[in-house]
Amino acid sequence: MVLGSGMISLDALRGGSLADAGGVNPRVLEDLRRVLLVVPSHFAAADTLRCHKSVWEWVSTLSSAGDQHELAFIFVLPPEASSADEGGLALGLSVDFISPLSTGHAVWRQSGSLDELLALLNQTRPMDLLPLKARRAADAKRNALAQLRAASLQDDPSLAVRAAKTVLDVFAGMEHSLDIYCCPPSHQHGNHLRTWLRALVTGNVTPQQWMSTKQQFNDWVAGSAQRET
Amino acid sequence: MSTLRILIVEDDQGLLHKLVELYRSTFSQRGYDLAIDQADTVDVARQLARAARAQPYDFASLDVNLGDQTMTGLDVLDTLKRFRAAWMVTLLTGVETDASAEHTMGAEKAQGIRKRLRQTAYGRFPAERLLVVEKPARTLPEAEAARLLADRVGQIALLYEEIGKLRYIFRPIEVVSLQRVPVPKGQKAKRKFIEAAALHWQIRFDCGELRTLPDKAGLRTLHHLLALDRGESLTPEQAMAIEPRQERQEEAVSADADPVAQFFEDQGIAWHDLALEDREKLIAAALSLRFKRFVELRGFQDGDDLSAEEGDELERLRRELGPLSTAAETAYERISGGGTEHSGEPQPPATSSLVQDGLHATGGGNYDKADKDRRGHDSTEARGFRKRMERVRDYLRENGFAAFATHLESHLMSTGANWSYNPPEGVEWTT
Repeated sequence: MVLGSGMISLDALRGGSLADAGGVNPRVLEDLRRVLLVVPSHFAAADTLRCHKSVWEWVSTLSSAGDQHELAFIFVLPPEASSADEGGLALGLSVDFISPLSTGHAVWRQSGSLDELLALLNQTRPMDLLPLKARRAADAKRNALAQLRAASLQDDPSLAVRAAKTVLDVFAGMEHSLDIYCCPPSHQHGNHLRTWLRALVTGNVTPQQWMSTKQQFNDWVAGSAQRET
Repeated sequence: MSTLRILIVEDDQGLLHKLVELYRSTFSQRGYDLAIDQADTVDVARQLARAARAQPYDFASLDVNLGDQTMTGLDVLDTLKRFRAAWMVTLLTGVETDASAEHTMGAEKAQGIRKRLRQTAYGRFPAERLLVVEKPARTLPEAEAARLLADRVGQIALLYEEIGKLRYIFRPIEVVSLQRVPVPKGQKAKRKFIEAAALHWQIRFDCGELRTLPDKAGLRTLHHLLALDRGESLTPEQAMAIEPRQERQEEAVSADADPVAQFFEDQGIAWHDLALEDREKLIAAALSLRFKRFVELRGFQDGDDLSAEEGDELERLRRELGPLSTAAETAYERISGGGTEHSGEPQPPATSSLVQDGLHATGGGNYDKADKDRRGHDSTEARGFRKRMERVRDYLRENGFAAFATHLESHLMSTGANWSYNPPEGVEWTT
């Protein structure tokens, strides 16, 4: 354990923070400056991003600055993690690549040297959640999914067909990354979503089928994928 | 006047310098000393807002389109709100009318901001302290635009002064609620609920939220002190006797309308249906209980062990007993054996160390009485008043007004026999 650091298991993280006996959230994360998220080797980018979201939920609750608490966030990836995994994280943070200086986040692989990690810890500029929220609000991919969600609430499938085309256009060549916007099991739901989108744009969905399947879209895709919480 | 801290956020360097000059000249003409911070990016503005947590800005002028693709002045507004870093904010923006936002952040986002600017802004910052003001259009001739901008800054300064009057609020309000009437077993109440009016205090200090507190500690005395004209002061005897005018009026009204009957009716007892004998029994029982409680509370008071609630109860008992309160006081003195102590001259302290202890006591040193040896000591009223003010400060701290309590500690002063409130320049209360 590093001096001055605390640890929390991923299960506890997902369980959410707890208020004290008086119903008050103790400000125990007031002095939190850096977070190192140690990513297990079986985690996909979608799982890592869900943990990232949970950390921010903890910080927002247990620090007086809430979502404006400044943090340097380091993803500690397993040695075998591919560049696609890193790309998935960048997509989730609505950036082309993860820059320690401009995003408040950095990536370090466990195969790297300790010196590199220490340098990253010093380089990564602490940032709050507002820039990430603003980037996500302006993210074309998230906006396309948001439009599809809005269309899925209508009875007219033609709106959904247009929205589905937009989604496939913005994800052209990287449809696999739709996984990171899906609820767990993300890959399985991602597959359903891709099939459904293709069926929609090729006109193979009758109004009856549309009525019976549109609800499934909301089961596959996480609500916060379109609109950052 | 105290120094007015201003933050000006504008990405156009030329306009930023113009605004700094305009705000400086406009506020200086109104007698303010200024400390102006400036920022030309969202990032710098948000860092300044964070840093102002300990010493908030009095006023911030924010542009919305700050040349950033993703973040805007509305995010700066969020940070000012989160860290309570500005008292009043003006969004001085052209985003609703000119097309520059499209170039900066894209058509979709620009249109979204344009459509919902005011709705979003008022959702993010208290509406009574937020102005949205349009910048002169870029299409106007330079001279005309400069004249319009100066005019708008002048109006903003005027509004700042008007709204600033609400900055420190400390005023009484009446809160009316329904209370269940206590009914003794076996009796039937005429009314299940009665309207009970209580005096609460509406407080806002610095950038804190507006809240109300019931008067459990003697806030009415503090209210009176804050409302005094500067240079006026109050003796402890006057301070201890302060009661809200409204209470006196209520007392007068109820006295006209048979206060005894009113008292028992309020307890749920059908007074007018009772026989004369029963009424006398009830009066005797009620008086006996009140005398007993009066003696008990007076004992606590003499032992400096009277809580805020008990202090209020004692005052209420005195009012209820009316002319009988003198008899109750005599009874207490006889029981406690303290008659001579209260009526005679104050006794000098037994040893010199006692005098020194008093000098070093918190808030001590400014005594309102001197004995034959010219040693200072406090009268009973002065002791009571100090105690009351201590309770007020503790109560304020307990309820989240620590800054207000600290302010009172620094500026509520005893100069020998008299008490006065001497705030720094620029502080005015709505009392």
